[in-house]
Amino acid sequence: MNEKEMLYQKRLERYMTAMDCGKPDMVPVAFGVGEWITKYTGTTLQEIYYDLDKSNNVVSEMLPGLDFDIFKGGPALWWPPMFDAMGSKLYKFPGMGVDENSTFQFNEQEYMKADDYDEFIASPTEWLVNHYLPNISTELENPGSYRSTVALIKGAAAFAMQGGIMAAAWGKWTMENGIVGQGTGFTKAPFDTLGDALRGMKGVLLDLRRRPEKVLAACDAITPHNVNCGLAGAGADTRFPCFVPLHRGAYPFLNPKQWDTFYWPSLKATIEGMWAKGKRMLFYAEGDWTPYLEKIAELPDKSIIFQIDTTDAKKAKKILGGRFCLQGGVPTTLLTYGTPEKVKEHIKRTFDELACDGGFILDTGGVVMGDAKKENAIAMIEAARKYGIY
Amino acid sequence: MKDELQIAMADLDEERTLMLVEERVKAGYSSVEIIESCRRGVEVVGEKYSDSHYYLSDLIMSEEILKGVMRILEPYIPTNGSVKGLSIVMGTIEGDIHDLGKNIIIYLLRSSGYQVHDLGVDVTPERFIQAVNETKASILGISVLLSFCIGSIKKVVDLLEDAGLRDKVKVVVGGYPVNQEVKEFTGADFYANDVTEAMRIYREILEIKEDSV
Repeated sequence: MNEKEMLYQKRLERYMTAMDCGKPDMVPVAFGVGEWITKYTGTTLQEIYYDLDKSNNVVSEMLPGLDFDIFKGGPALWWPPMFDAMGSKLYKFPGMGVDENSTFQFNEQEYMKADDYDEFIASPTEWLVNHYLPNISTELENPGSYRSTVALIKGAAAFAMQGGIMAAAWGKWTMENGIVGQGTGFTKAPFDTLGDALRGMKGVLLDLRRRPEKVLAACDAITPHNVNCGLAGAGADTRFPCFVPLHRGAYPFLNPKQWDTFYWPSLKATIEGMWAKGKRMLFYAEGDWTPYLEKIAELPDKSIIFQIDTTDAKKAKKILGGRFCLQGGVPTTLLTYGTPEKVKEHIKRTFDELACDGGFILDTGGVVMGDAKKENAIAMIEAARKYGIY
Repeated sequence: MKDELQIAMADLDEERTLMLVEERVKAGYSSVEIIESCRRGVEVVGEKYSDSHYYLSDLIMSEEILKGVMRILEPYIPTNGSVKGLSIVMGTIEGDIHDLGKNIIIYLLRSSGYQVHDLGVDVTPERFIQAVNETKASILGISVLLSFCIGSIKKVVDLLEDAGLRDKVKVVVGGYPVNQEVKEFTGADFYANDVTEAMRIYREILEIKEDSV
């Protein structure tokens, strides 16, 4: 075993121990190279998004010498050429609809209409192919046409190309730096699938009062697909958690009764469905989830890693700590408006409050955007090592 | 609270609200009277939101019901509707296209009788300045969700300064990522993360300004 492999093993053990609520030799640290890196590389964000090699090279140059455990990935979340091949209406990408140095944005619409519920519920995937794809992509407007067929092939080929390039890059980063990838697989809360992608925020929130039974039936219909998506996308890996960004369940979108009735049952079923196969969820609770912590505590022990964004961290520790690993602790704004000294002080305090008896991974609360400062990101890692020894 | 229409609105009973509005139109009520009942209903909705009985989904529902009411009343509304004198300019900052929070605030302000100029989303700093200048607004509300767009809010405040407008307008920034640090960085006067806090700030500023007019 070479030096990097040994380092990988050590970091893997640290991560695994924390995930199982144990106390490793030191607090594991998660780190991602966010869009902020663009400011320091002389490239535009558009180049970073469109040119995977360029983006991966930036990451390769950044990683050596940084001592952290869990890697969350590079600056580009999507590869726009795949979307362009299908004429996708879903996103505005840097340089395409927004400024070349602005991040991507989701173009939310009611891509599924209220009248579509019954057909969707009867067969979700069939409805997606027959109606959703034509609705979200100019090139797929006429299913079965020459143009549509070619665009579908191009889109699928681009997806595979991106997968291949990124797998090779992750392999290289792992081998050369001994870092451990955060997770495998991706899925969503069924209500978020419906609310984010299909009905849109306003659509789904109005549906709660206008056609509540359809919302429930749709969430039920989506659940087995989302369980499968989390498992199959990970290629049956169960060591690492499945990443699940959670949206509409954050306070104060839904009132407590709506949360209990519409959001939670299908999300809980998704978590339990995956956990029955040994797959844990990175419960990426974006925003504030404080009012729902007691409900979340009903989940099987260790079935999630709970991400603390703007949730009350002390309450999360009190209610979930010991039974579920907690991840977070560093507000994203601290990396933008703070100084290295402030970051260090904050991390010392965070460890005292959250990490003391294990089951904790240090991470930024939410997604770190282009406004963060590199020196603060580096300070976070350094402070974590300085103060994080158990 | 005995007004059935006000109650239906406050309970977010869409069907009943619209039915009562239709009935009152037929019975010869004036559009101003009908709107006033609904407005009082919306006020209750706002109070219930502040008390955590209602959440965002409920506010959005109330907005939708009021829209339905206005569709029915449109033919009967006199063209020179009365509004309170002070005006407000609002928009989502450049680079950001999120408008849920902004739209809710605008809806609540308008239903309280204030005149709000909605500049929409992805609004450049220059456009904000132009609108403040043209409308002589007392408040500029800037909405932001994406933290990397916060730099442009600072630019708005700087441009207000350059244009000699800074002391004529209160700047309120609102949205998920704003906090005391963001307020200080941008030079804004106030910040709010939620609807209740934002409405409290707006009311406070408007009351002070109204008194001084």
